[in-house]
Amino acid sequence: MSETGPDARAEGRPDGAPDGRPTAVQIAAAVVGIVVLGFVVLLATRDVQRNGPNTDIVGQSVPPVAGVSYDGTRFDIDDILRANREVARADQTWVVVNFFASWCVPCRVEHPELIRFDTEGTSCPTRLVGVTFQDQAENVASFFDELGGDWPVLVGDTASMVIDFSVLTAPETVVVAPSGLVTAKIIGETSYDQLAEAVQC
Amino acid sequence: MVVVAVVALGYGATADRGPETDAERAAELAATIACPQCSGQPVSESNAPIAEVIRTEIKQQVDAGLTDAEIRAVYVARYGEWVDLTPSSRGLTGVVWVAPFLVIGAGVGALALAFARWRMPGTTSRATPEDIAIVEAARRQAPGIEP
Repeated sequence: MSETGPDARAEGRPDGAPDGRPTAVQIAAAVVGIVVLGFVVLLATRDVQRNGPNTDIVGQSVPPVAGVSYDGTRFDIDDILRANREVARADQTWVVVNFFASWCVPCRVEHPELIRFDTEGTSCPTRLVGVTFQDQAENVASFFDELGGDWPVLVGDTASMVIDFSVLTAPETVVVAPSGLVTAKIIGETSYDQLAEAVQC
Repeated sequence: MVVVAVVALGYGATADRGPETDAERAAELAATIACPQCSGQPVSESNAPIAEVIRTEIKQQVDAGLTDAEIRAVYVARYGEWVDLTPSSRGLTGVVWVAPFLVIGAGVGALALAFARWRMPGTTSRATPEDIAIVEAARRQAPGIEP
C-alpha cells in the first residue's frame, strides 16, 4: 500500500531525506568524524616527545671541544685531529670525551675505569678529555685530588659543548675516531672494556 | 563608548609589544623550550641540571645576537622537534593553527544553513493534497468517524 511505502515513511521522519540522500546533519557528522580521525592519525604519527638518551650524534662530525682545564692547561680537539692528518693511520689518535660532574655518583663509580683507560690505553693511540656538566673548577680539582686521574677536564663555560653533544645528564661518554667522526656514545657510567671495544684502529 | 571599549580591548588583546630587554627575551625563550630530560616542563620551570645548562646557553645566545628562530633551531637539532613548545606553522603541525578557525567556520556555516532552512516556506510538515486525499479515504472507509 502506498500509505506505508518507503516515501511515506521518509516524509514522516524529521531527519530523513525523502530521496535517500544524506541530510545536512549526516554530512556534518561525517565531516566532524573525518576531522577527528585526522587528528588521531596526526597525533599518532608525529614526532613524539623523546626525553630519553639521545645518540643522534653518532655518525656525525665532532662538534668543537675546546677550553681550559681545571689545572689551567688548554685543550682543543682540533689540535689532535689536525695532527692526525700528518701521521700514518696506525699512529692516529682516538679521542674519548667524558661528560662528568663531581656531584654525580655514577661518575665517581666509573672514575677508576677511566683512570685505567687513561693509563693502560688500548692498541690504538688514545686521548681522554673530560668536560664538566654543571660543575665548578674547585670541585673538579678536589674530585681528582681524592680519586686520582690526570687528564684535562674542561671547566667554565661548557654549556655549548653539553648541548652540541645532546647530553642529558652526566655521565655520558663519546668516542671520536681520528677522522673526527663520532663513532659511539655511551649513556651512563662506562667501563674500560666498553671503551677499548669502541676504539678500533 | 562601546566602540572605544571594543577598540581598546582589541588592541590590548592583539598588540604584542614583545620583550623589552635581553633578559626578558631569554626568559620568554626559556618558557617555550622544553627541558629535554623532563616531561613537558619548560626549561624556565625545571630544576634539572640540563635545564640550567640550557638557560645559561640561551642567555649567551641572546647576548650573541642570535634570533629566536636560530636559538630554537639549536635545541630542535640537538634534542628533537618536541622541545619547541611553540608549534610550527609549517607542515602538519600547521593544522594546529588552522583547525580551530576551520571548525568554527564550519559550525557557523552549518548553523546559518539550518536557520535558513527553518525559515524557508514549504520545508515545514504541511499536509499535501495527496495526504488530505488519503485521510479523506480512510475516514470514508471507517464508519463512526465524523469527517
